Amino acid sequence: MAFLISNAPPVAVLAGNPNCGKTALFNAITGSRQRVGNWPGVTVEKRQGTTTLESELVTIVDLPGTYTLGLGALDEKIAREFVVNEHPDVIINVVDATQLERNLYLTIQLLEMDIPMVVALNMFDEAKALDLQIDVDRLKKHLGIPVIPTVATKKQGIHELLFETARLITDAKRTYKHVGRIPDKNRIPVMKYAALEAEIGRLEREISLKAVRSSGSNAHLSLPHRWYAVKQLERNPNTLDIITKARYDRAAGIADSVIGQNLTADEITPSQAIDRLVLHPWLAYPIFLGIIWLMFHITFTFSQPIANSFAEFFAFIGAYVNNLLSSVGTPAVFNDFVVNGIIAGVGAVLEFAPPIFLLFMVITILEDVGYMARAASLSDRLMRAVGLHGGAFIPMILGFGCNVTGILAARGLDDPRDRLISIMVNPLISCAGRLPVYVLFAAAFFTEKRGLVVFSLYILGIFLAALVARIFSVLIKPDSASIFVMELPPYRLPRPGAVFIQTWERGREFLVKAGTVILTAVSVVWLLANLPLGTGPGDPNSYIGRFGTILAPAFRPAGFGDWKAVVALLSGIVAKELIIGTLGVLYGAGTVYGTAETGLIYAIREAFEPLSAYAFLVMSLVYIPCIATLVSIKRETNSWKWMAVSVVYTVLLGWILAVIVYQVGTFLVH
Amino acid sequence: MRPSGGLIPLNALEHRRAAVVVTLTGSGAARQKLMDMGLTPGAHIAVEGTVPLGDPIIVWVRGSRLALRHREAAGVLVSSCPQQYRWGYRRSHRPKR
Repeated sequence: MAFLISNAPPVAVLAGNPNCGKTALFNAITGSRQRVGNWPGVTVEKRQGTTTLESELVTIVDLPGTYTLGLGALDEKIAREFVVNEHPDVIINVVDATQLERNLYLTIQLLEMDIPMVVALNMFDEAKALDLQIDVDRLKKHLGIPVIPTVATKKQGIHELLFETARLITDAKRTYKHVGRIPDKNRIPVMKYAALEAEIGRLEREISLKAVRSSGSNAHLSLPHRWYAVKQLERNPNTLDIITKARYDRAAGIADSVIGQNLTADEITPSQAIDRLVLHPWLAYPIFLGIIWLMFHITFTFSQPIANSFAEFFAFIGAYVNNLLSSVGTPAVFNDFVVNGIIAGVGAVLEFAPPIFLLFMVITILEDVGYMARAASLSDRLMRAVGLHGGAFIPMILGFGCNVTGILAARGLDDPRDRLISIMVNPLISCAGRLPVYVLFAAAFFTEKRGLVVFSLYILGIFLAALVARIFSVLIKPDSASIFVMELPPYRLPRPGAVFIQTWERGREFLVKAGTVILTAVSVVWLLANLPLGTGPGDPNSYIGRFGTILAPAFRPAGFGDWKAVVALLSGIVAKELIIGTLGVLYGAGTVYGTAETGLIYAIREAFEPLSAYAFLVMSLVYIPCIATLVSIKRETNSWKWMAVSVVYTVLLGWILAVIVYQVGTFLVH
Repeated sequence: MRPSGGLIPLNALEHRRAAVVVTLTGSGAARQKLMDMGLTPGAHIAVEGTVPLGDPIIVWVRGSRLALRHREAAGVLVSSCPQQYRWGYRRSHRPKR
């Protein structure tokens, strides 16, 4: 009850299963008044917003979607710990009315925490369409809390839901004022665990006693003591079995009692009908590949004109600023820094915003529709061959947009080992940032077969990811059998608003990166290339030139022992897309844009030959993931060790492959 | 609906045959994950089919569909009932109280 003591606004949390429409409800409640942050210590998205209830500001926190509040997956842990530690003032439990039984399993666990709660019986229109006649009043009686039918996507029932939420907050306040303390937490329990009740009672007394002895009050235990007692029993596998079964049986009992329908019709559900096609023995994989192809086609074809206009825009801005600065009379060095360093550098990165956003949009639509769960099931067999499971498919696909997003998506995997392996191999998936490097070199050296060259690098990345995953899965011993259980949600039409918001959130990470890490790094690279004074880009006596010259011999066996190429790789650590910008600066080709690009193509034609160019591309694909990716590996694995491992293995692997390409290629040519 | 058959692993259950979960043989996190997804003793269950390469299988439990592997399904022992399962959430699946 944070707000009763401090003056902070009351906090309401949204809790519910995956696919229950929780995000849509969150959007309906908060509108644009929301922001996305991270849960402390982990990079799981934390959506938070505000709304005004009876002229009072209320903070709304969206918990990760979970089936349970158990001790398992990260998402569950986050949801549970937030409720226990932060003690929200109200829980809004979003329940999918068409999946009452499964959803009530979570509802019961939330009720046991004895925090004021209201149920949003969401997708009520769909339940009606299915002819599930849900007796809302009876559900209310069973649960002992308000139940409001809602259709979040159509904003139905939101007003009533917020009214109930406001009432619960006011009630809590009034009780506090009259009684002078937080309402008694030890009321009649919602769940009775027949055979375990004696043990629960004993533990409960023990906990109360301990609490009073240690601090003189029980204020630090924010939940009913009974809840802690039950949690303790959940640690024992035998009693956990009994507790889980009892909760599900109760959920089933309630669902049975409130669903009036008693159809005996024998037809299949619409989703099953669609799956007869989508999971068809012969058609499933062609459809799967078709969708993946379409996804990339849409991403890279549709984004082309937008990306081009971005490029033109930055070229224009660059020229404009250059003129402006010249007329003001600032030193030429400064002008060069602003135009060729900052504007060109950031522009080079922002050019990837259109394909990245489009890819995320398509992926979000596929998730929203329900296809991603099918794709995960279809790929399970293939993923298992490399020691992963179907759930790891989504992080991999997201990696094609941006490895950071792919690594974040791995949090959806329950098993820590699956998660770790997915994170470690994700950087081998060709993100959108590498594409321009491929495209530039392919255009310079492989005019006829450039499509094939680019495609080969994507395939190489997938192959290496599979290979490395296999190696890691042999090296890292599983501590428990990882299992694949995935709900196949009913197919649903995508909701434009939700798709837009989700796409924006996923792409945001990339924009933030462009605005912060990359801006800083671009400036540093420019400075190193232009200092000490008197040197300039392309001068081996500049700081970066000296460093590159030291490292260059190591890459001679790979065919690109030129210090400029090495420096380009160094700046590519900041962001792979910077490789081009750096080459442009070092070869004095000026900005990479518009017609000037031909300048860079000529310059690299001088410096590379086709074989060393391909070796360079292989190195660009594999070596050290960008800084943003490294930072997310560190955060997600919570270990410097794994971050170091990813640096070392990718450099070694990239170098070995580049040398093989060049040496074997040279041998074959002669 | 009363189970009548002997104990068989879920992945050996005839498609579309209604059945009741009797026990889970696994242990640890894997077992709990299955139970959290609704595969608790007493739950009504049926196998709808498999995905193209034969694994995972698709099962119905508690009014929703899950994909799970043969390996995990083998650890779920069920007892089959005489009748066929009716897809979707159907109250008539349950024994009268």
